[in-house]
Amino acid sequence: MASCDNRKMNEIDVELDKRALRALKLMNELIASKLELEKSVKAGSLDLAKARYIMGNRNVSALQLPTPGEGADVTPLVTVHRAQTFQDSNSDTSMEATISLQLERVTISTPSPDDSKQRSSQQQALKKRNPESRESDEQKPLLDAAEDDDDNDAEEKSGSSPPSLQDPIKWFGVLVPQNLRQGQARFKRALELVVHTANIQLELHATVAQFRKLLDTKRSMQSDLIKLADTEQPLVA
Amino acid sequence: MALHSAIKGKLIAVIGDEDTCVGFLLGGVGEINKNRQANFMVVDKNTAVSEVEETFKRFLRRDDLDIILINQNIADMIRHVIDCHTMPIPAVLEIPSKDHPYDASKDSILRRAKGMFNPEDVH
Repeated sequence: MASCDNRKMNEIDVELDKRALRALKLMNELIASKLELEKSVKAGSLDLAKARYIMGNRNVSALQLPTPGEGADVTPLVTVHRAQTFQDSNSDTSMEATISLQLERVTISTPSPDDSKQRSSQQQALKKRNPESRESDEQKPLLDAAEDDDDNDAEEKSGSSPPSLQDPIKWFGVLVPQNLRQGQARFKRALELVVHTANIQLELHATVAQFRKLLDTKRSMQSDLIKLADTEQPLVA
Repeated sequence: MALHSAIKGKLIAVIGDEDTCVGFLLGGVGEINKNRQANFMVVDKNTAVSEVEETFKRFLRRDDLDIILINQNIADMIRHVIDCHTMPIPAVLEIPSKDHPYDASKDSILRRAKGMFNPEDVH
């Protein structure tokens, strides 16, 4: 009985050491990743400052950012996706999930001449369709005609409302300096580092939680052993 | 709703100085949703701490955010609120800015991890 407990205690000790080492490694990685992020942000800020020098102080500022008061919604071009990876936390406990994040970019497709031709032909078709529908509506009662018109409008609206995706650089004008484009590229790289850093942070968070859980298990086992020893001693005496 | 969010992907929020916000929004993280809520906040010298705190808490409540980026100098202003957030998601990342270099000793997650090696806790 005691040897079995001792073996379990040793296993927990080994797991605790593993978690502690892993946490130290992750802490080191987190600091390195944040320093890398700092470099990227600083370089990006320098590019923004150069663009500001060329375009004017007020032309590259928070004033160009969209505000919630404006009419149009702003759609994000970068999102993150969650993925759960399962790993063995301990030999006798169940598998534990660690969340990891993945960066996903939305590509903005510029309209090609073929697309614009297709769109104009569709619009012509719509223009042609309307008079016919009106002619047919004239034969129907007035109420039905009004309903049909509403349906047509709704169809057109739903057909011509794809999510409007715009490159954020266009907020700053059409002809922007090369430095602003470079700055944008650097901040895009910084976003990759952000997701990498977030993944390290999530793993560190999970490792610390596992360490504390194991430490609690070990303490409860120690207290149980002490109680057992106290109850066994009078019997032996 | 959960399925819809999983397909759409989750957002990255930013609380930072002008350059940080302009830069990351240029990178494409910016969103203004149908409820007229933005996922970024530009903090300048006139911004009140309570305003930053309120925005941070609002971001924590939103379920469409997975990462909150906050400049470390701004995080220092609302350290007590950041320390209270112990959930892994949304991940609060304290990032350096051009004026304030990264200081690992102030980072909440590292201070929490250092607690593992507290002499009182070590077996």
